[in-house]
Amino acid sequence: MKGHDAWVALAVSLLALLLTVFLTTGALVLGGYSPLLTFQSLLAGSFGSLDSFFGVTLVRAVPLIVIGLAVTVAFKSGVWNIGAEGQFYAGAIAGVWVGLNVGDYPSYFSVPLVFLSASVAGALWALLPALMRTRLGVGEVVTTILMNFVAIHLVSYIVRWPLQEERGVFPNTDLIDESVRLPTIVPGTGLHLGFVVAVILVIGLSFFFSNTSMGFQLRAMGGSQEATRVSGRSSIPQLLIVTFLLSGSLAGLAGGIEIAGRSFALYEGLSPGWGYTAIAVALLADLNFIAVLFTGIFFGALEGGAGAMQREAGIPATWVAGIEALVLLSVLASDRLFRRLLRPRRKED
Amino acid sequence: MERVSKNFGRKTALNNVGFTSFPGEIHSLIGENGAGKTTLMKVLSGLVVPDRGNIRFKGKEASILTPSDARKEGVGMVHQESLLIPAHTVLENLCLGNRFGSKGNVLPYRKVRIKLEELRDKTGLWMKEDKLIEDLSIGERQKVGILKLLLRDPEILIFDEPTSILAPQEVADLMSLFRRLSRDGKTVIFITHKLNEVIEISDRITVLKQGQVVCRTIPEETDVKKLSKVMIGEEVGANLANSGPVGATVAKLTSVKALGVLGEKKLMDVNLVVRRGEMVGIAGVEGNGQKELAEILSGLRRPDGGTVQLPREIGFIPDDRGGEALIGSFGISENVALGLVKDARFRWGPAMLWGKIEHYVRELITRYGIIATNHQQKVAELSGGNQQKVVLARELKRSQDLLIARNPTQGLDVKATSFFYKQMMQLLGRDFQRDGTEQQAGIVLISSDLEEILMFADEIYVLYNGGLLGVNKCKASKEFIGRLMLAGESGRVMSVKGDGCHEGP
Repeated sequence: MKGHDAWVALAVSLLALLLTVFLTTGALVLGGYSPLLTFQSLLAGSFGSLDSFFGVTLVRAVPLIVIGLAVTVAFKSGVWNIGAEGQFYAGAIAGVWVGLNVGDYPSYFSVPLVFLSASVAGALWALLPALMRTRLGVGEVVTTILMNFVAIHLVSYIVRWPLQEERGVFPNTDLIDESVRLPTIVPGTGLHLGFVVAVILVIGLSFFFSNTSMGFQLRAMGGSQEATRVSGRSSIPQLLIVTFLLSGSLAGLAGGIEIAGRSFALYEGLSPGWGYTAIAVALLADLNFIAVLFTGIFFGALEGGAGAMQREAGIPATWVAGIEALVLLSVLASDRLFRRLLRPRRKED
Repeated sequence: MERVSKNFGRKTALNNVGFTSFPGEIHSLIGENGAGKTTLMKVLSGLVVPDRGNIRFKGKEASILTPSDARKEGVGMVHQESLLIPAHTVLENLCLGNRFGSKGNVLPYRKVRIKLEELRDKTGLWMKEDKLIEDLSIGERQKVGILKLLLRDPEILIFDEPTSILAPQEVADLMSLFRRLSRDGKTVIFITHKLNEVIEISDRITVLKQGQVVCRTIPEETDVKKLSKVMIGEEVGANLANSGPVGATVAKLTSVKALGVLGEKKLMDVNLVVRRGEMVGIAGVEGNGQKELAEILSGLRRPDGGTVQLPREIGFIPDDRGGEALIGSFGISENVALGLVKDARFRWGPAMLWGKIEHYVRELITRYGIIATNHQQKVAELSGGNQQKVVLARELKRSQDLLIARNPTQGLDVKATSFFYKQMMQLLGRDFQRDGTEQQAGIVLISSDLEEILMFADEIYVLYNGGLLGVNKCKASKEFIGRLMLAGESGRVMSVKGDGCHEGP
């Protein structure tokens, strides 16, 4: 059955992509653009050359994959954490603060320290909604979303006052020191070690969820909270807290990786809504950790190719945001469509 | 119905089944779990489209592809689980899906009220129409379900295991309703596992086995023993020891209280002692504190007052199979693993030993006769009885000290039930094949099936309105306990003191 389910998931994803291409084509034609040129430049900008693939697509994919993992962890366990965006920023704030103040230590000490502080900050940012859910029974959808706004405005404050760059002109922090930055792994491109971290996380989480008893209990909670409480004799509040903390720390870590790997500084709009795009990444992957690696790269390619699309085809880069939204809608639609198609052959009795 | 066949994947659910029923008869349909009873009736009511075969009503060929086709032909089904909206009133639920010619978006309240009164005069069935469904007992909900069906004035009424959740008095009421319906010329098709009910009420009996009709008979020509032989070739409750040596106290509740979400009293001053080798039976109509008592006894919940002593290894068979016992989207293995997450034998540090677990699950599947394609099949795809077997297989294994079972045999056929009883006897240490060195467990059986409790329990209590009433087993009759269970519902308050044997009438 397992193999069968995997094929269905893959088919759903492919159908969704096809649907997206179809809808996008229609929208482009209506808008008076050439679909062919658009897709061509999108592809060229994301996969066309070594630099565009490693330096643009994969670099963009890193935060999407890591945050996508954070979302997957939460959704798989039945926790609707929509607050990855805020947790990402919390991680980025902690990461840049440690990065600026760590002092002169070797990379192998200061970079992990940045990662650690970013993870802890992300986890703490998720802790408040977690406690509100477990202690007061407040749904996490609303609380996590609201925490996003707090984080976004906190960044605005931080980059203008406490951590503003030395000259006090621009709303961003100073660049962190060389020793705190991640090394590049493909010479001549911007692809940094963060990608390797992302891949390790994918493998680690996949193992954790399928082979450890904690991971299994989290999955079970996602399947049925009551059954996990009654038949698994598990403490649901405890599992919920674990989920929130794990999910938040991953999103926070993504913030740390972004600071240490690409931006080297904190500024407003560091994330163009990755916390939300990551939801699409996770859903397109059917909440499968391995698949998140690929859907993350796919969305990375979309965002990476947006620049080229604007230059070559003259289409505003914001179109990509529309395409991303279409992908999400298509996933949801094809999922339903597929389940309906399969239903008559399902077993009953 | 003629030569109806249906395959699900490679599994044959129905194989050339013929089924005929006449107006004004009560026709019982019996068979083991997964014998195809429910599937056959789903074909008749349009929920399942058969691969082959045809259906005739009054001699005319009918094509029934959807539930609304069946409705037009006058077929209606009362399902095992009620399909009512808990937050709505009885009247609102009755209006749902019944238009009665009213136009637009207006609900036909007035018409339904009139119809209800007609029905009351005709069948004696009545429910307070402004009560919320969530405030009703399971038996009352079933009545609403029946009313909803009767409003459509069907010719053929199918009841899918209606009696498994009812108290004795409620069963008797249902039986007399069946008789009235059949007098009115309706056809009643009655799916059940309880053979004595079948003998009592049916005009005709059809027995299904592995998707085929193996026997058509009438009650005058058969009895419970013969029927169970035909179904599986075994008798229920045969060779079971009724008592055995009793050991030390394994669980003890002292003046235990439990409160609901809104602070309402769910359990009041409950005292209970369970000893090793002893089975305590707690009878009662659902909703009198069973859930709270069971959760406290199984250590899932702390009481809001009083003290609790519990052992380490407790098995718990919850009442709500789909909600609390199993995860439908998970396979059999993973559902069994739910009971093993804290078991050191199946873990290596934080890791689960899936290989070992799967080996173990395959063993259980064979031992418990669970019908499934393999150990990874999702439990949502299994039949109700097979799902229950998965629960039993998991929980019996963890019951080394204590087993808490709520309606454990719901949906089980005769064979699986008697297998389960044997397992319980083994837990109690009454298994003759063993040398007696085995540790004994205590069992608390919380059930609305009074027969089951009377058959096995050493101590009997009735849970009514959050209070536990002791019953003297030797003196109490089935009828007395039955009335005690329903004391509140019928408005008669029994004078119960001490062991509850000082009963007047």
